[in-house]
Amino acid sequence: MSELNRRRGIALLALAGLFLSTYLFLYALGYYGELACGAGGSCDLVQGSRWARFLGFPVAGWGVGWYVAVFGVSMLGTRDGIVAAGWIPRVLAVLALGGLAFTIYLTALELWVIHAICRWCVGSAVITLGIFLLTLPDFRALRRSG
Amino acid sequence: MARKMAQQQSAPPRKNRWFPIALVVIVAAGAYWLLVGGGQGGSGPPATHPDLLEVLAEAEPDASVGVPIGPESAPITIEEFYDPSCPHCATFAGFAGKLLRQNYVETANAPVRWVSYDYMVGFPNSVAASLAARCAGEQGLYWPVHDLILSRQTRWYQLADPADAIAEIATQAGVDADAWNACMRERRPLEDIAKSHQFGVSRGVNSTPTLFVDGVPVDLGGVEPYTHIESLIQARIEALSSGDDPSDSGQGAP
Repeated sequence: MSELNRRRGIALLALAGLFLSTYLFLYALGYYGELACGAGGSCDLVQGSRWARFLGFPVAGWGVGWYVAVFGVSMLGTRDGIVAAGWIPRVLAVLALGGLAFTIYLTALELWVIHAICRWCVGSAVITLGIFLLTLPDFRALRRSG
Repeated sequence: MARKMAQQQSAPPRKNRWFPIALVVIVAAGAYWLLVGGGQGGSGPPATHPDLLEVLAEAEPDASVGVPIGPESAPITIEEFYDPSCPHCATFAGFAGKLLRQNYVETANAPVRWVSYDYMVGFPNSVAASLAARCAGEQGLYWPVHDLILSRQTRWYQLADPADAIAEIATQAGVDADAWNACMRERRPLEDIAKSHQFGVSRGVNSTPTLFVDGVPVDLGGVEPYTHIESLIQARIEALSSGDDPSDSGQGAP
């Protein structure tokens, strides 16, 4: 896969994740009375737990910010004149690594602390993993700069 | 690599069309989902419950059966009378109630103590739902079950037999199932629910949700609840800090 298409793929995944996290963020702000979670779903339980906030702010809100950042940087990375800029792969690699680490932390909380799985959180985790896999070649740039 | 990308940029436009199309598809699907698919709601006609009304009629009003959250030392008390089947209560709890508790009750040095009272408007499944929350309260889980009962109201409030749906909610909130089932079978908190309802009657409550800020009834007609109640809280904070306490309700909130 070419670098340009990789960045486009990252941008598309980030855009999908942005809508997903926006949905959860709007729920956290009270705009939706109930999450569409399917029979037996535990979304309310996860979203209502004390781990649904991080540093005093809803986790979904952090997710919105992260997806906006990934989408913005990856879209910039597809533009003429910026496409070859050396900082793009470094920033993408840092964002992807941070996002994956936070996703692992949240998934571990769901599995072993809250004992409930929110399908939207799983969806976001899959998207984050996809973004991480697509940014793997960018880690070369990160190593070079390190 | 730069040359390779430059070659890709100069490739025939047809090869790159998939990307803007995919962007548009995701934006359209996401916007549709947020605007149409995300919200859930519904309402149904209230029904009477003669057996319950008989129990309620025999109870004496009692302010102490309210279930509080927030610091005992908080200078302001908000009392909420709610019916778990009431759609307006679910809407209030899902937005204004949630935000108010986040910002004024469940924070460090919270200025507000929130007390929940049952007030049975007459929906058939309300007693079971109120019992569920109060039985969970015996295990220190009143508020998680209270919140889930309201946020998942559409799953149980119109069922002929809501027992399984309500039990599922309680289980997912983390109650010990055996102890909770025993409480539900014995309907242990029923008397407290009745006293709570009668306390509401004695305060002039006739609909839900009805709120009192330091004993003063809140008129929620035609206002945005969160903004309005927040302004009342701020006014109380200012009045208390300046030593000027205009309210003298004498209602004796716990």
